[in-house]
Amino acid sequence: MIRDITLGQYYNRESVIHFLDPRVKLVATLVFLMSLFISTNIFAYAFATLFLAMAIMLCKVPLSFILRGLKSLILLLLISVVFNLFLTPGETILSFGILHITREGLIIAIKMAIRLVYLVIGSSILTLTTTPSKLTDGLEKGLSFLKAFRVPVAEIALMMSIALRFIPILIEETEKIMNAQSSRGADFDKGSIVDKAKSLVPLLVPLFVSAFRRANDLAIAMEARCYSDSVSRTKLKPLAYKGIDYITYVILFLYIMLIIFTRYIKIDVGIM
Amino acid sequence: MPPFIFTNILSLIDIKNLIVDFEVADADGVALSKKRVLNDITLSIDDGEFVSILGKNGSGKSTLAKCLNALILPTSGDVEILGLNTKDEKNLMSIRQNVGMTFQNPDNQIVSSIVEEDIAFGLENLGIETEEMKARIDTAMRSIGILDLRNSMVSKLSGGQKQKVSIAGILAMKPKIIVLDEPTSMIDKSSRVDLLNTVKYLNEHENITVILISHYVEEIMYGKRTIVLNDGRIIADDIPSEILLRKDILDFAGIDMPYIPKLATELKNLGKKLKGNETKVESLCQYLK
Repeated sequence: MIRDITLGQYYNRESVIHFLDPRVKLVATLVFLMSLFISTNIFAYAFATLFLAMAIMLCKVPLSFILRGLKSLILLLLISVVFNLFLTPGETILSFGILHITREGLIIAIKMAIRLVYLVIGSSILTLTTTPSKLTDGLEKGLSFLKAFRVPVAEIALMMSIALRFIPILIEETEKIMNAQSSRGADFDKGSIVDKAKSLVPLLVPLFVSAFRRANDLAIAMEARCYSDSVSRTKLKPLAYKGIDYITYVILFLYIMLIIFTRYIKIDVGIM
Repeated sequence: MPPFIFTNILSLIDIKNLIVDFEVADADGVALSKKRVLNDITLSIDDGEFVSILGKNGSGKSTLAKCLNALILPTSGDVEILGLNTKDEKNLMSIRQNVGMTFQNPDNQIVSSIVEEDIAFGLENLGIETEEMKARIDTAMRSIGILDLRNSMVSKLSGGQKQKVSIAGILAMKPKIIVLDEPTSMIDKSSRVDLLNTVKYLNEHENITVILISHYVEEIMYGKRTIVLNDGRIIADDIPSEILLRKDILDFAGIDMPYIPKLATELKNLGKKLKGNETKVESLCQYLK
């Protein structure tokens, strides 16, 4: 049932990409997303496609698994394509009654579709190849410069990892409460949306009460184990860059340079 | 932080006239009144002891446990651990490092999703270096017998395994004393026996002082000394086999006498020639032969 939901859809494989430092992967994802939005012509898109194809091949995750993330996007994709297609003013190339498809609209729609699809694939590669705890570690270390601005980075990272730890527990608890309510005649599926929302109240109230009780227990247990925000903590698995991580940074730098360079190629190829 | 070595103190834990009051709200949640949870407790526990603290719900046993590592401070009186007073803020870290504590609900005391990372939590707080940390985690997991769980997801473990993980987590901090607050109340019977045998092993082979808080009378047989609490007062402090036969004390504390001593006492009352101190099946069988 709902217990099968996994947060962060980690896919365990032995690959170069799985092996990379999480900070590198975060930067790589960011660089790739940026590159999509500064891409203007067909060359840029070709390079981006090549880059993405290489990442997909190297990560050894089945393509069907990677594409699964696109399912939830279909509606958004459809809406944005249709709106761009019909509502962009410009040179008309096709007409259906009062609806006109313009040349400019077609270009924008295609670009938008490619960007959205690549964006989702790119970020799913990150979550498919990195465990949530590594991702948290990467964020903590990668954003540690924010400590200078008094942002409690380490505390936020700890909060994130505790949240991850408690997701399965709270899901189990939700199931228990749902069963308890159902056995006394509650129905969570029937009626209008308003009825459904109302039926969630007796579910959420005990869930919140129990979550607060757990939080209190955990705080006491953490204190008993010498946790204090005033001392600096050491790490069991400190992040350290390896050779491959530096190589990846160089590749990323070259890639973004290439994409920027394509902006200065002035050619009139096809519709792009 | 090096372990503390004191040669001139006699007892590990020294409690003098400890009184703890809680402020409790009435049924409407408004007016506050004071409730005395611990009333004039004086107690000392020596190095290497295995003490069980028995009492029904609300007898103050959990509060007493929390006083031992400064999670609760005395309203009056003193608690000294290795000669360090819990009232002094400076002592807080060394007291908590020396008094490891686990709690009733195994889920609510584990911080990380991976076993190994959770055991590391206390060490990370103490600022131990990575290499030393790995060695200590290894040793702790070996003593508890959970080496094979190193990279397991905590959410996939049973209750008994989770309790073992939390004990390993405090053991890695090299405490002198471990306080187990009802560790078996949420786990099944076979894991219960297994867990308590592990605790007994730690007490006998690693010279760790154990304080076991419990409301199961069967569990006090693992220890060498039993303290019975009722309404915040110590009503008995003796070896477990003596406590088991004191029906008055057990009644007073609202605890049922276990089956074997009960049978022995009843047989004795019927005029059979029993010593009346049989607590084990074997000794009773000896008689019936």
